[in-house]
Amino acid sequence: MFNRLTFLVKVAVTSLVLLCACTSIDCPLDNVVECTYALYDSKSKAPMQLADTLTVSTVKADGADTILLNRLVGCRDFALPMRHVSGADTLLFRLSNTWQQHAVDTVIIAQEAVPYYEDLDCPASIFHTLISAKAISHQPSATSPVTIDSIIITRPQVTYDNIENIRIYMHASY
Amino acid sequence: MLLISVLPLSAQGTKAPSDTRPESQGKHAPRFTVTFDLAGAVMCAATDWGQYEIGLKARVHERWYGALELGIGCADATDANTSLHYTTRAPYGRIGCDYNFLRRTDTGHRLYGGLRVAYSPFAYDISGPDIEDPVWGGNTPFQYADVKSHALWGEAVVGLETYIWRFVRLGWTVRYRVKCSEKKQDIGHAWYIPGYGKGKDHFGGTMTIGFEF
Repeated sequence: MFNRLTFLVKVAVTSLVLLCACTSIDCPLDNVVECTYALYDSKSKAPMQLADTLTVSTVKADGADTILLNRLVGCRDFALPMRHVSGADTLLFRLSNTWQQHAVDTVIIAQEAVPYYEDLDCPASIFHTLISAKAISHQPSATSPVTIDSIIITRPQVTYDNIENIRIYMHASY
Repeated sequence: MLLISVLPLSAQGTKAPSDTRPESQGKHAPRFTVTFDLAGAVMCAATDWGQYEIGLKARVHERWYGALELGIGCADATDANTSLHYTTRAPYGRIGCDYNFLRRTDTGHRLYGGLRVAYSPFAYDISGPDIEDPVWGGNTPFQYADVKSHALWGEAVVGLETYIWRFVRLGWTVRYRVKCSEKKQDIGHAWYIPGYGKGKDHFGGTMTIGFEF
């Protein structure tokens, strides 16, 4: 009888240890949700490095401007936040060069915002599903010879993953 | 650690105990055992999640047992850091078989391995603080009620059972679980699946008291 009780105590302790010993937090290390844009040459369809300086801004709900990307030089790709409300995000791409030439193209991204949680340990965040993308480009001229030629969605799901979501084809008239 | 617990039972299993073994053993051994999961009930009452589970085990051959387990899984958890709150209460069921590995089957002790197939249709509520938009401003509410889902999974079971008094048995299992399918909603995977445990875990277990007849 004593051996059996000893055995049962061992079983109880072992099971408690096995059930309670392991705990972990599985939050992603990169928990920022951003849409990733990549730049391509409209003629060769190859990835390109932008020689101009790029600044991206938008208009907030209260009507004030805010800069999302400030004077990025020599970029091949970049990531921008998205609005937490479903609808169209309007982004102003300002291209400028060393000759003080500049122009503004407008990018409009229609998206659906979806709240998401990874675990109770991790704060909830907003994922997005891209619906459409279009660009309103300026005419290449003396103001700025580089412009957005076209824009396509390559991966509609905007999540924690920093994978190319939108491909922007740039056109240079020089 | 598992071996430490297993070895004493194996040793016991090779010799017939002389104390509280029931009168009817061997080929006249009881054919049915009804079990209740003590650990799951304690967890359900005292921790964030657990389950109330009863099981029926039937001896279909000298070493083979059929197993049916039915229960209600419950979760009521709030994370202190994120304030996310998750609740559910839903049924589940498992069916499978066990094989007794002990050389002598007339001792009443069992060291067994088995397999289960399990399923749970469930719905859960999850809520948390509003999500603030740091760029455009404004808040998005995070309140979802009656989010419906279901899960199908398999379990590999290793367990021990012994008599503690006449027809009363105490048992213990460790289970490795693998999800075969789960209906995922847009807001994410279920944090807790009734009968499975936390959605990202694979290991679980039970401690049962059983009545043999």
